[in-house]
Amino acid sequence: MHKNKFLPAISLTLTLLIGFATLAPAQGFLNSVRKAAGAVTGVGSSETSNEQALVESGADLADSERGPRQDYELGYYVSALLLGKYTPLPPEHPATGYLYAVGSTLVMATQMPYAYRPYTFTVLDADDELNAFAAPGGFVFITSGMLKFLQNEDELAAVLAHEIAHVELNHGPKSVKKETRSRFLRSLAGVAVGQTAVGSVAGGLGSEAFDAMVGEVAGSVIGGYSRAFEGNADSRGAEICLAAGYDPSALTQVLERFQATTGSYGGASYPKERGKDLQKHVASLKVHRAVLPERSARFTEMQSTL
Amino acid sequence: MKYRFGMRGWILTLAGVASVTALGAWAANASRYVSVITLPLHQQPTAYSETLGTLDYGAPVQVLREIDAPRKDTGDLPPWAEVESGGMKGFVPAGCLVSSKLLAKQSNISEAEVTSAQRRFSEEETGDLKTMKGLGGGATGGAANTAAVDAIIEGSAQFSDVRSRFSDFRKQGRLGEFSE
Repeated sequence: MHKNKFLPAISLTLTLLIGFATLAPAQGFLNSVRKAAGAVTGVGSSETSNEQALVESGADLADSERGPRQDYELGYYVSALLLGKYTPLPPEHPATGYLYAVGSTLVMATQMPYAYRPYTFTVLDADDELNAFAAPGGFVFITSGMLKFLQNEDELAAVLAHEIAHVELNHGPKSVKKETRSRFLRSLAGVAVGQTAVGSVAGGLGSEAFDAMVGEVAGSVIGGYSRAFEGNADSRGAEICLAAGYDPSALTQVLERFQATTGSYGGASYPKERGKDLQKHVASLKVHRAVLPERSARFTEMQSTL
Repeated sequence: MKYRFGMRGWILTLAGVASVTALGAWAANASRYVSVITLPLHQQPTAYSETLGTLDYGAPVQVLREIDAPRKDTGDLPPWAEVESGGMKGFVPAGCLVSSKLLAKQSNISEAEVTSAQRRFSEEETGDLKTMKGLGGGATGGAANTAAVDAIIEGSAQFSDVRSRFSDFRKQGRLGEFSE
């Protein structure tokens, strides 16, 4: 008789446990959906509470309120500003094709291999400049000077992987000042900003707040992100190289030569101990890959076209 | 009396099973939407794996589960997800999927607005450019060259489908799916 009495209760308990176990894998996703919905619909009844909610959610803009399409919009205009200064080599140039091959191999190793439009890789005609850039949405650039400075394909992969890591880690949108992000969010919600009601346009394209965001991201893309972001991009870049099959320590060699040539690791935005920090991270990966002669040969062939 | 109590218990149990299972199924199969123009559906949670088909922008998918992303000290990375769409099951990067709300918002912008806006940048923004960090005042102006970006996007069409296009490149260099 005891069996009849307690069996339903035991079954119910087990059922609930199984039910929660079923729910568990979806929790991360649900949280992000709630977070996103909160940023859009969590606008209160008064303008004060609207603004407060938006300012508070501004810190999360990069994670909760943006998708590949928004990153592409931002990256498109950041790239337009960059190309106001540099001239790109044409897509039919052999170096461009080679850059796509190496870059795509790396992008496929990331957690975010597809952007709104496929990644683009562009050589900038600037022999006297050692630089590389990446804008949100997957616009990657490298100067011809940097291509000549590098010594093999693994070094090129290391430089590109650093840039791709900035895109994957969403550093562009995250580098926008909190105040600017809040202004942009207000524009999306159609809240009056000063004397001008901006932002009935979805995505905020064309608004003053969007322009400000583009300007700030362009500043970071060209001049460098924060030291923390640059350090993260170095580390994540090494992991991407490893996942793609390249030597994860290649960037350390590039940095040492870069430092010897220019006297710095890239400027004030980069960690002072950049080389050492990266070496430590690479050592933690516990994998070393030799540079293959086949890869070096095709790299040399590409260099000869510049 | 005892028998009647048992019946009630079983009814309660069945109701619990039904409601919790339904809730679990709803949560695990929540809908999301493709937010990239073309999204390959992969056999495994890596872009090096075979593609089973492609999903177009705006296509609804059911998320079956998320695959843990590597969480290193470099920051959070988006996971991959196992999804079902149009009778196909496979893996996509979860970062390529958005909520219906975000999809609706961004779908209001026409492609032309993004790629051919020919916007003029404000004087203030041009000023910002001149003082950009790292350029040491070297920037000579803030002229935005949207035509050059359009040309890059147009030129990228010849490098589409990178997985198959550069397969020999990866094989020769022992990279990607051919790495050791």
